[in-house]
Amino acid sequence: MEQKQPQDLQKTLEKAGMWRASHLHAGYQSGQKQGTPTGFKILDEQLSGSGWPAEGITELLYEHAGIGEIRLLAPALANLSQQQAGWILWISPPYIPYAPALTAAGIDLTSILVINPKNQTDSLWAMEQALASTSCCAVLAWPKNINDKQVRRLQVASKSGESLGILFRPMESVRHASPAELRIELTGNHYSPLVEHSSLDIKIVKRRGGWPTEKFTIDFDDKLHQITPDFSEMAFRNPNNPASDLVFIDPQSSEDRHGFPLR
Amino acid sequence: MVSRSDNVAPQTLWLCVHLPMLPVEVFTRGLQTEDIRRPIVVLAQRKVRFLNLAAHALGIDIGSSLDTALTLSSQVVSFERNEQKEFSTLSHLAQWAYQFTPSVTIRTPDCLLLDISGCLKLFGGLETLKTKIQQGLTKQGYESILTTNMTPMAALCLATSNRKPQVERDKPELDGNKSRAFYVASSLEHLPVNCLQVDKKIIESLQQMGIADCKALFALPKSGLNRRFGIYFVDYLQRLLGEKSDPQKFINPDPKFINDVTFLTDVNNTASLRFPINRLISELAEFLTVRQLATNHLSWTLSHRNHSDRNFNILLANPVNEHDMFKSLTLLKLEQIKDVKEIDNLSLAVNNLFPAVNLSGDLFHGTSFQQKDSVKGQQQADMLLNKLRTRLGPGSCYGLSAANDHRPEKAWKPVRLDQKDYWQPNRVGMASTPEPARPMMLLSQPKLLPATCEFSSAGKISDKASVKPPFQPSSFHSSSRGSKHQLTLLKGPERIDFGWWDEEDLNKVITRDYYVATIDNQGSLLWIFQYSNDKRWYLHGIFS
Repeated sequence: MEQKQPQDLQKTLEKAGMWRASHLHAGYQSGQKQGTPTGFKILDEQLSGSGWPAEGITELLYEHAGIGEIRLLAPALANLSQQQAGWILWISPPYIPYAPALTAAGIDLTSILVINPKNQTDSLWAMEQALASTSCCAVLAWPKNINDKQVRRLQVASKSGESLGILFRPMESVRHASPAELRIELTGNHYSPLVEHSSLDIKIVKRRGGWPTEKFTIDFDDKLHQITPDFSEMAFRNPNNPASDLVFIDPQSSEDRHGFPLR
Repeated sequence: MVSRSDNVAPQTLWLCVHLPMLPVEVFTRGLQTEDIRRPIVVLAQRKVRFLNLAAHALGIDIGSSLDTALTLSSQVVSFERNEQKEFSTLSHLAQWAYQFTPSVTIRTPDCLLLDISGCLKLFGGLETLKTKIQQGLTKQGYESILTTNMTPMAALCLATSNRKPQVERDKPELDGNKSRAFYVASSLEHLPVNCLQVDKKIIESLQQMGIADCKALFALPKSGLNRRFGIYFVDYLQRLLGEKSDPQKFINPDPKFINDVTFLTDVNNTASLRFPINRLISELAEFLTVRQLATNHLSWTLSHRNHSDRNFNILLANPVNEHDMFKSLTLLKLEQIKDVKEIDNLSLAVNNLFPAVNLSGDLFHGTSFQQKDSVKGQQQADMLLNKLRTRLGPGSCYGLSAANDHRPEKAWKPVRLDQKDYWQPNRVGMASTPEPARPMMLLSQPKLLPATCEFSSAGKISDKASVKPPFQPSSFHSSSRGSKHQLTLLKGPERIDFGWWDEEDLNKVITRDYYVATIDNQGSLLWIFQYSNDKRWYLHGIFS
């Protein structure tokens, strides 16, 4: 008996459901599907399957809109829209997904479908249908209030449909347990005058094959925190140059503008 | 001199479909079996004109009054005869029969004539064809009598004669010596003269002359008949016997599908509509299959004699002919209809017909290897879209497209998904110079920022030309009441001219100065602008 014990242990360790706290990617190695790369190396390293889970719901929890919750998803969405058939379905987004920004992020607009269900029931129904059908590569939803039973149902639906399901939920729901595959807290980062790009603080609350993490920061490749120097006060101090007339004109474009009619 | 066309005309065979119970069946088809067993009478001028077997068994006769019928049984259901409906049903059946042969003629009130000489081989012989037609009609709820003969008139006579033809030739063989007229005459000779489709007066005088059956009639010389009954009668006889050609006016394949089911008792829950809906959809699917068509718009009408009609439409992403999809979408829509009181008629109309596209299946069907434009994927995508649009309404789903305009509101447009340009995206202006940052989310209307907002510029250059610490506001507006918001302007301004070319009054032309701003030190990035004229600040987008 005693001699067999190591073998038993080995067998137990090889079982698919087992994971060792020391091995984050244990689940992936034993047949779990590879996730959709997030586009952020630091985040990929923290996720089993090296990306957004291919099956199951991901919850993004945040308090204030505008901290980069969609910009965080954008690289993955761009990848999906270009490589896979199927829609990126937006269910009752709080505002209009803005086409020029999506295009700039590399997301193929033809794959985008926006729906605005009139009530919560329809919205959950639509989400379940979309997750279960194999024709959506990603489903993004902003449910007004959703309980854990409903999340469980979506979780089951997403396993059969193999699509990326993202729920945007308020930060306070972190206090309630959720059957979601992955839960991430997002906090906006204060701007600093020394850094031009915006960034986002991430704390993984729940993930497969790992403990919750500490906060870590993701840097976006943008110039949103770039500060345009304000010369208005200097201009104001010049009596010949009132502040109201101060207009930044790109010399290139102004030349064009003036040059064109003369040609 | 009678023209002998037998030798030149190809051998023709006509099938007459007689629907003796049509006036009753237009009301009873689509009913449950227990309803069909109820005695049903169809009235014209308060007299019973048609009845079903159950009514006949009760002793009701053609010609009795409704009162008599009701005295015999209180169960009797009566309908006023609806000839218009009979005709439309007959036309519909003619369209249905179009699947067997393109040469279909309607003979009012209750017959169809089919030239089947060309399609016997295709359908595997006369008997198979007849069984097929008869079964098809029974399935749709119509009793039928089928007869064949070599001329349309003769087939019609046999069908309406209401007696079993004694001699029926599967394949009348002509030998050179005997004419077609001889065969037709011999097949008709036992029929009484009142089977002929001629004026009642002529039949009466024939009977008074002692001519009871067709054999005696055919023995009479044509010239004598001509003198006695006129040219039209002789012309009819010649057409009957095939001595003269008898061109028929064939129907055109219908450009639309319309059909309905009537209920004997009022239906007041939508759940019991499932079976009639299934029946209508099966008929539609058959209609589409035999014509190689597909549709993307089903229009249902629930009606009741006392209420206004209730319509609902099923819109599909792409024209298809799929029974299951039609059915699941209709039932999905039906679940939403709550306020329906009573229904006594359900009808389905389809006007948008498209040629069906037959796609070959996916070679790698069932494997994980799925191409981006695979047929199966497209079908599933269509199915999802159909479901969403059916339940949520067509207006609640839209796609996105970029538009060639620099003004933020006009730089995008929603795309209705039934528009074709959705699939050929508008890529204008995509390859232009890199644009300044745009927010992921745009407000549908710019929102006036409350007066409690305080604005500061992060890039303010102080006297000493050094960067001031951030969040030290230079207040533009401030208010003591309400929650204060502090906005720090980061990037900007980006001046956007606002439509002087759309505006006639140039004084109204305003420009907007757009800034990227943070609010309240939360890390949220907003896209706000200030009007050039009144200097008011608006929120227009969120860098989600």
